[in-house]
Amino acid sequence: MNYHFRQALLAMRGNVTATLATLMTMTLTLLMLGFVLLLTLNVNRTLAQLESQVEVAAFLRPDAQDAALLAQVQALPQVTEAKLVTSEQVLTEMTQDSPYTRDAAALVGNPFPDTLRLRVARVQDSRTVAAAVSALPGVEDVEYGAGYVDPTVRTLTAVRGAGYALVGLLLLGTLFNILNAVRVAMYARRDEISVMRLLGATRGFIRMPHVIEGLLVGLLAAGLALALLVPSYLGLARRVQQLAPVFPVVQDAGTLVPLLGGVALLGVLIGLLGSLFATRRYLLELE
Amino acid sequence: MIDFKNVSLEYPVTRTLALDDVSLQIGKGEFVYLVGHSGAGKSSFMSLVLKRALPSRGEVRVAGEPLARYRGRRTALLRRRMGTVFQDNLLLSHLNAFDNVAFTLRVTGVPQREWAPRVTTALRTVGLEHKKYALPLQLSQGEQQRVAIARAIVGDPPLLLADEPTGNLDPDNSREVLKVLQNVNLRGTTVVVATHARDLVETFRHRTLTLRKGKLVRDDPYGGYAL
Repeated sequence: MNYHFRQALLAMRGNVTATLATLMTMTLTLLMLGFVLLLTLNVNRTLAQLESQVEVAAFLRPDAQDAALLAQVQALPQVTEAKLVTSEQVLTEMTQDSPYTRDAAALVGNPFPDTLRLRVARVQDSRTVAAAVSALPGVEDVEYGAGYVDPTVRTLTAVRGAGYALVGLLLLGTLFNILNAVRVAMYARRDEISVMRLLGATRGFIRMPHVIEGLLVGLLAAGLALALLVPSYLGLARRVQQLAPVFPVVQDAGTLVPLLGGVALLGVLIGLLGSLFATRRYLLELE
Repeated sequence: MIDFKNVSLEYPVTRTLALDDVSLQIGKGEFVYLVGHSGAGKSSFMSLVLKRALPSRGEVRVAGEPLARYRGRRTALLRRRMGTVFQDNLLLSHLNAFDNVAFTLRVTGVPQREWAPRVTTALRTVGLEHKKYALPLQLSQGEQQRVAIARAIVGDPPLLLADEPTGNLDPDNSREVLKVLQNVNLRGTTVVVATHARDLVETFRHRTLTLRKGKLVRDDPYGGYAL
């Protein structure tokens, strides 16, 4: 194993440009992947918080059958909670926020209708539930925060999708870089490999230094990516919490460690798989 | 040891017929010359035995086993039973004579404690024990070829294939290399030497197979170069 390890280091030293290019691309890819995963994690948590806060409000006509409507909306599968708030209760709530509301109501009458307040399981379901409820007889109007829920969900989903697409492309680029680096390294050792084959070396023996090379590059890239990602993320998370405490930024080790460990493991796996594939192909071409 | 039955080899890209319906047998412990002009098929014969090429027709057997059955790891194990020496000695320039010879033992997984006695014996057999720390560039062409022979025999293979081993050597060094190959043969190793060095074949007489345009045209058990 010492021999293979030494040969791997020699191959990396003799092929510095390709090794550095691979290392940089892989580090960048893992960095991007880590960033996208952390973003997704936080987006999911923010969405969960939104979900717990988003309310669909159905304003009823004066002649509406309140109890029957309540039973109907409670039967909708997306609705987790539904309650009827009478116009008097709404006026009381509004008066708590704006004390002059009751004075105005004394002059023109209570302007607030009876209201059904619903909570949905997922924020994406708000629109569906709103549409279903607005079609019910006796419902005058429905509000579900369309102004911010829809664009927020759309933007966050788009950002997440674009991030994954970018990471996919970078992963592909990294893989090609590794294939190229290992190929160049094997070409540089072609005389030695040719002698090895004549002397009866197995494929595994010939491939081992280059597999170790891929593994080492993967490990180094994973280490570098984590060294850059962890302090940057924690710094950013602290800053976001200070400036906008409304965002539930993920900072607990129990969630972050497995995620970042997965990123590192992926780096090592890409290095390993890339070099295994490249060495196999090179030797098959020689046969 | 080597058995060719109606073997033909055609290179697919150039459509060159390198060997044409060759049948021959080389027994265990023999010393055999393979002679012929350039392009006669000598190197193609070696390539087939080493399984670097596959016959287009016919069957090649080594030690009783058809080579077609050897695949992957088995090909590597087969090559461990054959020492090879080429015109270009293929020594690794960054390793000294000792390490070049030990390279065979390294790649075949021989424990390191066995290397020193076995490499020393192999270098002694080729008369270069005193130059074990010399790099290839510090050795003459003849000495380099003898190191290559030491590397080929250090694993004690039952078969030694030498393709133009004296091609780059002057007459004195050529004779020296031939003597070494004969000594190896005397230890019981089957030796096949592909050469077009008429004087050597005439001087050190052994069974001689003559190839012409891919065909085996003569099999002379008492030797002699007749083209």
